[in-house]
Amino acid sequence: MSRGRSRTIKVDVLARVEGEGALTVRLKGDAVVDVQFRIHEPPRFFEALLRGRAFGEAPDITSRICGICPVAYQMTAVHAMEDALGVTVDGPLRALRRLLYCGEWIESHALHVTLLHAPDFLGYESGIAMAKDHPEAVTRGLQLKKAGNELMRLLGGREIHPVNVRVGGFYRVPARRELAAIEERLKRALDEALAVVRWVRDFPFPDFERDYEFVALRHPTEYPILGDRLVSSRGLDIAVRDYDAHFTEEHVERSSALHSVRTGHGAYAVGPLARYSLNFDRLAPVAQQAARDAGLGPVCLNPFRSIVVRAVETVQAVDEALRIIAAYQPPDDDAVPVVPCGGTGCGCSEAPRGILYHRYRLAGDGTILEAKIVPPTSQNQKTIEEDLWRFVEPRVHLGEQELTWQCEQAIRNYDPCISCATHFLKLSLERA
Amino acid sequence: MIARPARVIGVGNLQRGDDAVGILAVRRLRRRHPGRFEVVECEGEMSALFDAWEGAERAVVVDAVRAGVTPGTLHRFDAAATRLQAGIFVGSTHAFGVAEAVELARSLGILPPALVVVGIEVKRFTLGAPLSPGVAAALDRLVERVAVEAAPRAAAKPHRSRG
Repeated sequence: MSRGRSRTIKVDVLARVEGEGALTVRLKGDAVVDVQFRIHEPPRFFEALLRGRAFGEAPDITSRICGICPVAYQMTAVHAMEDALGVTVDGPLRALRRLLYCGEWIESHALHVTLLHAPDFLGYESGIAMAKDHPEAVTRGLQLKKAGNELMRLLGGREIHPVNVRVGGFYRVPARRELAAIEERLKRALDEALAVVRWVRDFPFPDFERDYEFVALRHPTEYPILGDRLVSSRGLDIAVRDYDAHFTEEHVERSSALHSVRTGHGAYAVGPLARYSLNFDRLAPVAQQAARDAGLGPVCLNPFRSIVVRAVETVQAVDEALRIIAAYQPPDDDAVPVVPCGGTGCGCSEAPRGILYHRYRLAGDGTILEAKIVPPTSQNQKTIEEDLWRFVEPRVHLGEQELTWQCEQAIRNYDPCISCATHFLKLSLERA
Repeated sequence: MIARPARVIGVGNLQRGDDAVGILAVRRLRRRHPGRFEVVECEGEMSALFDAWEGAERAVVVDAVRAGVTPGTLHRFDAAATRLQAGIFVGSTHAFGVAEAVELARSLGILPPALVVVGIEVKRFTLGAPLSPGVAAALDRLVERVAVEAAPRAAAKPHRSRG
């Protein structure tokens, strides 16, 4: 390519990412001069909607922000409310919450790995096209996803927008026999999850690594799903309630979303790569072994390998679910008592795509005065743009189509939950 | 063989303006014809759609469509016979709309032998908004169209396509 010639790579509608997003990469000669990854996010709408509502409504309202990670929104909301109200939920109730969350990880990861991300590595334009040649792999992925959905249905009441979770616990906790009924299904799912790791480990991964600042929850013993402490690969170690003192959301002109930065440090990455690299020692032995067998070390800096990490985390989630079910003794009560009071509370949990943070300020009667929701995708947005800056430059010699494809793939590494809702594609069609 | 009505699957998102229309339509159908149709509500999530039509010989899916014509216009697609055009169905929560779910099911051989998609042209998806006027005015017509499509008839001749 001759020096000085301008090129623009523009993708107005990104395939296989949730919601509406668009990408523009501007090149001048062999240099990248601009990267804009535009997304539209609805949390601001929900933040406004929550003001004036009762504290107990937040889990159900926020679970509607995203059809794929409703449990993450719900769980983060209840934790923030419980923090504000001085309530602690532990023992079997907490275990059940982790179990429900495992269901969401399983179904979300299984879908992304099999149908959204794998086609990139195998050279198909879509999961549908891939399914014709790889029906067993797709069916296995769908089976695994279904196991996650069943877990969510069992604990959440239904699989999308579960309705059984409330501040203080659940509306109804399951009996032992109800959980035992899904045990066999999950044992099969463990085999399926291990098979997925073996399937993806040999995919052709671009040679690309970055020195990310990873941010994830850290728990004394558990691989993080729910937790009170946030850590980073550059030494951050804070209580969740200090989140706002360390992270800032910046408005970006071209996007309705806000870019998050670690104050004074810049972009940071959340999600499977961050969780895994900061918590390898907390993985169950079966998941650690699967990771080693897949050629992963305890830290993974190649975002394209996130598909392998997601597969390993699926093994972790299924194994964790089985352990929770085996140890389950139903609690005496479905929930702990909750008395409304004024105050501010924060909650954070590991959504499949990374940490999700909620903060609420309540009036004395428990009415929500203020709500703040920071989804994982807005935290990753700046990192995604930086990935593209670095990724594109050595590849400018590629043809338009190939380069565009690889840029989209670089974005899909993050399983971006762009609008957490309906995606709107504008295509013409013939009418029937 | 006793003729049975088709299973009716309403797809949509109640929080997203006109995208609610598929769900609202099947709710109205259920109220108008109590006990007559087996009705399933679905937020468009792909495997939920697979579950929704699993075991059905005939199914009718109701979804919002954006094809660039007058809001309220009805569309009919014989999904068992023809490939659906991706991108016009909006009832999706994870980059998989009805069209993608149908085509994936076709690839995997898990499509019902008879599947009709009744679409309604929609206009806006504003969070928290009610149906836009043109769509609201067409809701009754949509419900009656679905009732006709789903009415009991002699068993369909299975012609399962494997793409």
